[in-house]
Amino acid sequence: MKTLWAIAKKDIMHVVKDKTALLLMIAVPLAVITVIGLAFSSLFNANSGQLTISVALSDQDNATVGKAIKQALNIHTKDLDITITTYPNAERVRQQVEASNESVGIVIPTGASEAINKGASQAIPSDKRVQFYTLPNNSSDARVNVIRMIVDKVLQTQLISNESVRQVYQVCNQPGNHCAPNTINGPAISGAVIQATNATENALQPVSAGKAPEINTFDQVIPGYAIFFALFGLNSVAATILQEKESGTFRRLLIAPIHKYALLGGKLLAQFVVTLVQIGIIFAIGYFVFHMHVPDWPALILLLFGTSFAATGLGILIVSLVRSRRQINPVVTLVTLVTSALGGSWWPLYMEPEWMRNVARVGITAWAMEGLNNSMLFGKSFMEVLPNIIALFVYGLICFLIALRFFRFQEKTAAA
Amino acid sequence: MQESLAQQQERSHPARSTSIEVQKLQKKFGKHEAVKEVSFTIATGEIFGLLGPNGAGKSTTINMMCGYIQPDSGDTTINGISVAHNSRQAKRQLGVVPQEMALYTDLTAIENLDFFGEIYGIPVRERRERAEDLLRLVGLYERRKEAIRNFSGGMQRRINIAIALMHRPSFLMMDEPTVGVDPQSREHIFTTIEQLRSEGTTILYTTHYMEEAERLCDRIAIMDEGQIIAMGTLEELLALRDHTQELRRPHGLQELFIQLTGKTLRD
Repeated sequence: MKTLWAIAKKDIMHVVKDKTALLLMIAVPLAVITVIGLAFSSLFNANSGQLTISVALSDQDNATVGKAIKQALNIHTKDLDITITTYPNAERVRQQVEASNESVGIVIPTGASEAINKGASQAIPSDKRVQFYTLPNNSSDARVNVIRMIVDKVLQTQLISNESVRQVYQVCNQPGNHCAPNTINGPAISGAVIQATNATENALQPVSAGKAPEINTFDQVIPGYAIFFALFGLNSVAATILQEKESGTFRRLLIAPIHKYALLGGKLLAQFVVTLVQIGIIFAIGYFVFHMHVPDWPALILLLFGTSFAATGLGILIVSLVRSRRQINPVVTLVTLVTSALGGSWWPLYMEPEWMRNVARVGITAWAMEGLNNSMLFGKSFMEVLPNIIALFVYGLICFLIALRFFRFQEKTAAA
Repeated sequence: MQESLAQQQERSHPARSTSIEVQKLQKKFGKHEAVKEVSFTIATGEIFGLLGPNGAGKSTTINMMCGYIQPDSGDTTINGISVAHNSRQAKRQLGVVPQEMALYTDLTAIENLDFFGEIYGIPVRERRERAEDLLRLVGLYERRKEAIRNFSGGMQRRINIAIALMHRPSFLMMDEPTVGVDPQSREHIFTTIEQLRSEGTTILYTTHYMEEAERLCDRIAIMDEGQIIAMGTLEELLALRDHTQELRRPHGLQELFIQLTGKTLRD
């Protein structure tokens, strides 16, 4: 154990002596975090949830349907903001949609209200139908779907109310039925039906469960990029070991009476400490400067310990599998970029499809980011992120054991 | 024929008090037999020269003797301790001065010595004293706090030797310790080696410089193609010369070496 610590201490001393490298180790991630954090500051903020939609409208009918649609589209809330621009004819509306100046186009032709008032029992001629313009194949566009839903509801309500009045008249006019003259108030029946269809909020009680995520952009960007740069640190783990092999100091250590596990363990311990300090400083700056949320300190600290341990174990594993310094860079770059993209370093993990989240568990980043997102964004308890903490430590340990098995302590020595 | 000659010479020199015993070391790399049943003994306090052209098997022999690589067969005992069976204990007895500068160049001279002392479990105060003593021995005490990367080749060679002595080994293996150093540093290294001998340290010395072997070594073994082809004191080896040719010191060993190993260039 003393030997292990001696090797670790020596490696840490090497890092500390290179003051410029030490500064860059912190400054580079912070510069990237600041730029990315500010650039995407609106992406995760509460205000960013507002959906803004522009609608091109041409009301040639100038009657009840047009009025109802315009009234229904008059929405300006923090979640939804609809802007209506009116145009004199259908062609102008079509052009605006085609040029993507407007999200959706609506044309209400002359006679549309009259045709709809005749009720759903009669087919509405095509030249009297409300026209709904969109770009082709954009059924997944949320803006189109929102406007379509609103217009559908308006037309549905109109049709239902007119049909209701007609049904009342039909019942009264059936043989044997008697309704006193002038007692059927069509507009009143129609208005009551419209009011009833618009009153669904009285029948539906929205109830919130859990806690709404409080997302500061830096809550995502700081952990993501701290882990991303920690993974790039795999380069230095691998490089120091290969450098020792090349310079002959590794052989000198192997000739000394020490265990092989102490030799690799010392390297692992040193890099673990360096990675932990790097991530720790970045998180500390994130907390004090960028006001990152830390609802559960023990969970966060253990997640950072686990991440540093797993990253270092992976570094030792990589160096046990590569044969030269030239191979390290491409391998580390591949591992870092792929696991960062999959594992949620650059965007929240929950935005990815489920299959991708499952694939991402091959890397460290997914385990770390899931734990950090759950703790920092969703306010989950220590016990709920404990599986991620355990997974990270197990990940590092497995990497270390595989590395011990495959590490080439002695290079093939030619006769000399 | 040549091997039996070496064995015969080995038998004619019963060790005073045997410190090192190399028994039938053998190593193959693929189909290439790098070392073929090499055996010899080194007496306590003796400087034993191991000479040979490139690719003769010297370094492989040394690597097997110090436990860095496993022999296919055979063993080395250091003061009766088997390297094969009791590796860690045997390693405590030996120090190795590698051919390459196996140093941490970003660390200072004293930090290098301190680190290797710690690896051997020497207590803090003791290793600080030893490091300072060794730095005086190799003439670098005044520059102990300088990073090794600022040292000349000769100075680095001297630190290389000092590191191998930190744990006071009874057996020191020096693999071409004077390669690329100036005459002053070389002379200093010779003085250090002679002082170590006077203190009773057993030394295995490999070199390509025949005059070094002539000056320092009590006995010399010449290796070629993985086996020892001649072994004995300098006088005994010179007696093996081809008597049709005139050999005179100080070039006698050089000429004998060429006679025995030939003039063909090696890898």
